[in-house]
Amino acid sequence: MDISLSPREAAWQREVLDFLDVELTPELRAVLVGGGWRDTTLDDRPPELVAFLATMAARGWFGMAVPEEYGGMGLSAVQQYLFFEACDYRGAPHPDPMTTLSVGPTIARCGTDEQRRRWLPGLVAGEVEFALGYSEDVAGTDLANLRCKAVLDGGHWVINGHKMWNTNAHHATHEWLACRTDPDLPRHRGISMIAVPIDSPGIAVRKVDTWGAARTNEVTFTDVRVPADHLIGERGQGWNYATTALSLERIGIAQIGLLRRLFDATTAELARPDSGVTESVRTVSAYRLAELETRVRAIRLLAMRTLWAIDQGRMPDAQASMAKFCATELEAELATVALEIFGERSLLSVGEPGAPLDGLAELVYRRVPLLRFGGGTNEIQRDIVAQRGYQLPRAGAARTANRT
Amino acid sequence: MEFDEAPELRTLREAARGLLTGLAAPAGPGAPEPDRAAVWAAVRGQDWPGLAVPEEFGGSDAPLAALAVVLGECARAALTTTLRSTATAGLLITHHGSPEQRQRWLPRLAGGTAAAVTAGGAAQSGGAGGAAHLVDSGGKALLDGELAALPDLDLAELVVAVLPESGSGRWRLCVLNPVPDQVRLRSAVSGAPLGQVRGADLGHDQIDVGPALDPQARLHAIDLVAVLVAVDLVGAGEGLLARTTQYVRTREQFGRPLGTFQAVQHHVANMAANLECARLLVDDALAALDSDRAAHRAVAAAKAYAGRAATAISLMAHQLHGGIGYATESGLYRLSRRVQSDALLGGTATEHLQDLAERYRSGPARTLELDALDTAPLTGAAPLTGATSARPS
Repeated sequence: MDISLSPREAAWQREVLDFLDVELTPELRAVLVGGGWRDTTLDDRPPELVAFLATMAARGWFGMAVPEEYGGMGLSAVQQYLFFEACDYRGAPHPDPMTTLSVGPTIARCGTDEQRRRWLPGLVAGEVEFALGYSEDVAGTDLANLRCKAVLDGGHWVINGHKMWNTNAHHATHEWLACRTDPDLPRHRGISMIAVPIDSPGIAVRKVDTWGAARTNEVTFTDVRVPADHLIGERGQGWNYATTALSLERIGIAQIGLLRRLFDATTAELARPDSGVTESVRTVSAYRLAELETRVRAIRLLAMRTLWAIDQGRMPDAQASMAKFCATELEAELATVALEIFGERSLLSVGEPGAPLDGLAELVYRRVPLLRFGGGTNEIQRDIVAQRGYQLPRAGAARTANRT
Repeated sequence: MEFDEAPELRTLREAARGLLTGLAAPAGPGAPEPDRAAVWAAVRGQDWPGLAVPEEFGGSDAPLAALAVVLGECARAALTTTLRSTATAGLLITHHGSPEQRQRWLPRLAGGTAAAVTAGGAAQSGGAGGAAHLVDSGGKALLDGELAALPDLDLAELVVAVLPESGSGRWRLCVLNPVPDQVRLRSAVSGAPLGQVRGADLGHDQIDVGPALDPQARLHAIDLVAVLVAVDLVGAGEGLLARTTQYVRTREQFGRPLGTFQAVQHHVANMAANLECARLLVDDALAALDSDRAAHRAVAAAKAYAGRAATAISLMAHQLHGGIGYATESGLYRLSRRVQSDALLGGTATEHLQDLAERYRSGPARTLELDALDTAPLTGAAPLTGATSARPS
């Protein structure tokens, strides 16, 4: 086994780190603390943040996963991972992963020439962002049960229905909408993907607050009309389009850069002379951290092996599912351990003076539920590992929900 | 980056699996224990004992990864731990013996003379399976105390032991030969009887004392022993998981295969994740030892994780097999007992974790130093910033 990066990958990682060293200024960090800016619309963003993202976009990084022939960078899965890992580790804002890693490449691969011309340049420039319109009240883990429908009326699709957990809907430009275009076809086969401009008449965005202090949204569609050629690729292929990039997305949601940062930040806080941790608690905590260290090391290798397999042209579904549930279970444990180490002081959250790790562990602890159920619940991921990785039989007609 | 097994290693693995399948003792009612001597005789007929021994001493000079392939297959088949002990002895002498010791012992080991071995557990362990140490007796070395629990002593003709020296506290690589007649073999819980060597039974001429090891060399000796036991744990874990998935695919209760129950699938997924994490940590530790990368932390992590993982896999394999796995006639216990002893040999998880924990007990702060990302110290605070678009406002 050789886990060393290729010269091209290592140079890319260096480029990203050098960029963050320069551009992630104290002024920018100051406006990022607390993460509240993410709940705002684009117009209310701090200028430091706007400038930072514009610099990133100028380098073409919003199009890192779009093939070069369509104006992107055509980076490998390993390189894409290294970028988001570095941003998460350093606490830097970054492009929306779903738009960058999933929607862009899907339009490039499956869209018509006209669709590529219409959306890819803006996506690469960071001006087009998609909100993921997958889940509904009746279609969570069982995504194929979705009901939102689009009916062809002359040259337009007329859309009615609603979508849940649209995290980006309050600042995205488009909805990446999975909807039923052939109601007579069973479950997976009647679904299409339509790009819907989010300022279309008939769209209502309702804010949904979360315990993890990150806003999400419910989006309602009432007789929303979009031109027929906004249906991406082929009618009825939406399920395939939504599930093609799943392995990469599962590694993405595992947030291994964040995991590494939380680990290193916890041990750094423990080493501070004024951490307030007694000798006896320090001794026990050191042992628990050693246990967690072995798992952090293992999970990074698990992710790298999966990404490498993607770059070999394989479909490592079971490996990606394994990495997803292992990493997010570890995040839950690590956050819990970090809170315990620093005791009552851990109740201080982001932005409050004296908060251990500047509130990172406290915030991750509240976001851990999302990591474990999001991107396909960890239970579904285990089903996938057992069924596809180890050929365990499925019960009756039930099948593994294959969703994000 | 490369995660696939190299073609020559895959060929070696297939050959080893074929040979070992032929040697496997049958299970079933009244089936005898595998004949350790017969299996060892078959294995030593291969060039495996000398795989990692330098060519000049009659070995194949193969990389550690090749040795690991063969040892992993032995564990998967629950056959011969003598090969591991003998190969480890060869590595210890190759890296830490005197030139005379290499000349004298390596050709014999490469030729299939069996050895038992100990390097004193983990860096945080007390000593070599007991409180044995070297004492000076008129300019010659004697062993004081006893090596209480040496695996594979039943077939061994020599013992390679890294032992502390009374007074100086320095560690030396010693070869004990011939093994005294008074050796007592005990507990067969591991499938490989543990043997006890008492210092009082060893004369001057039975102790070949090598040079003192500096602290780095002693850690390296510990790492060599530990990593090959960890390889064994992964092999045994793989055998347990393969048997278990095979069983739950076909065994029916309530009119359907056990493997269709989600609870069973989740147990299998957890076993698989545990196994794959252990495998990657062990492969990484082997690669580090075979390169100039710092290896000690990777080895400690691998042995600690593999010990805990294989133990959990073993317990769950029994849970999913139910009664038939508990019955010795199924043969499942041959893998389980191997895990039971491997988890305790070459340093326990607790000992290796204590070693890793030292950094966190006493500071100063250091990152994990896994790659370029964490070589620079953590700066500033910007918890959980995350994604957005760059559309100009």
